[in-house]
Amino acid sequence: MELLSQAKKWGVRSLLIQGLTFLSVLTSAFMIWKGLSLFTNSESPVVVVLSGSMKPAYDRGDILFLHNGFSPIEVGEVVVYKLNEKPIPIVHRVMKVHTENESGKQYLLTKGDNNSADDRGLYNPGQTWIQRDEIIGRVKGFVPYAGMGTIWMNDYPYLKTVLLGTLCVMSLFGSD
Amino acid sequence: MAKAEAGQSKVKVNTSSVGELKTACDTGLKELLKERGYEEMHTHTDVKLILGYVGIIFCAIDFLYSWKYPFSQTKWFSYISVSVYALTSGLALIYSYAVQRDTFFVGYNKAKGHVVSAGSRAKSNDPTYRLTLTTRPIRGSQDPPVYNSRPLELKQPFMAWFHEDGEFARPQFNSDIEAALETLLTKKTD
Repeated sequence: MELLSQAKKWGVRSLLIQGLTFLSVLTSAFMIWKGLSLFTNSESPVVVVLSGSMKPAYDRGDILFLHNGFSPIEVGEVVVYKLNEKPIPIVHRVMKVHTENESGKQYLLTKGDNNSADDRGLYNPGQTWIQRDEIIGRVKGFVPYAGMGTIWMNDYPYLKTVLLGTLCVMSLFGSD
Repeated sequence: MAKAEAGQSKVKVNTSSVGELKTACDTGLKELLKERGYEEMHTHTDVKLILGYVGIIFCAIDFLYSWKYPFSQTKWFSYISVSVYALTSGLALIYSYAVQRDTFFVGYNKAKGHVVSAGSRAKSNDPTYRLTLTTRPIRGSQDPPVYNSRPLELKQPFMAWFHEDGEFARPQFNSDIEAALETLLTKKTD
């Protein structure tokens, strides 16, 4: 195996050095993401809008920058939430807020600007309000349509293979 | 660029690339010192490897932990791992800039009781090899001559050691470096 012959020739240390160079690219990317995540207190500080339910403000393919923080949510804020059982994040506006006097616990009702009905149809069966901890973040900034690539790759999975293949080929022929 | 075998096969470089010229000289110097009985000391590399892998291990654990459990549950560990990673990366960078600097070879000669350290620099668009050699006695060694504690600097245009077609002229290089080593090791401090 090529790896073993290289290890014999240049020693374990050289392999470790190469490993470190390669791994530090991956780990630094992940740590930057994690750092941003901790700073914004959001499990996913960057999301892509998947539906047109917030038109004309946000459209399918927009990239949103979120900041969650710890403060209570106010009516009128556009938030991204993820229900406990469902994996898909939803971007809608907060219409009503009820706050428990003693605990400060919030109950929120949301609705997409472009939808005719509020989100109670989307919530879990029996759920009429969402909680503060189901909120991933409030929208603080956006880049229009910059996320269309992600949407295409989800709709047409073979594109992921094409992209990965192109990157591999480029890396083989690029550095010498 | 041709690679040099541990034997003495030809090395040929692109003479317009200062990077390649410097690397060929660095490698030539390493080989020469190893031949003269200097065993390589990997301290600088080891420090950076340890710092790097500690960071990577924390990162890997954090990745797996946050993959399996929700964000709010794993947050506490992420704070720790991001801090550790930032710290080890920062330390590695400081070490590289402040401690290691231009050093590319540190060699240990047990028989003669000293350590030789070689660092080199070549500015882009300036085809001059700037070599710095330093020596220090091995701690605890009783070798009588007190070696020169001041670093020896050698500055030579690359073309003194390369043929026109880019072939590395090992004999000329070796004799120049050996002369420098003699000066470094025999001058006494006063």
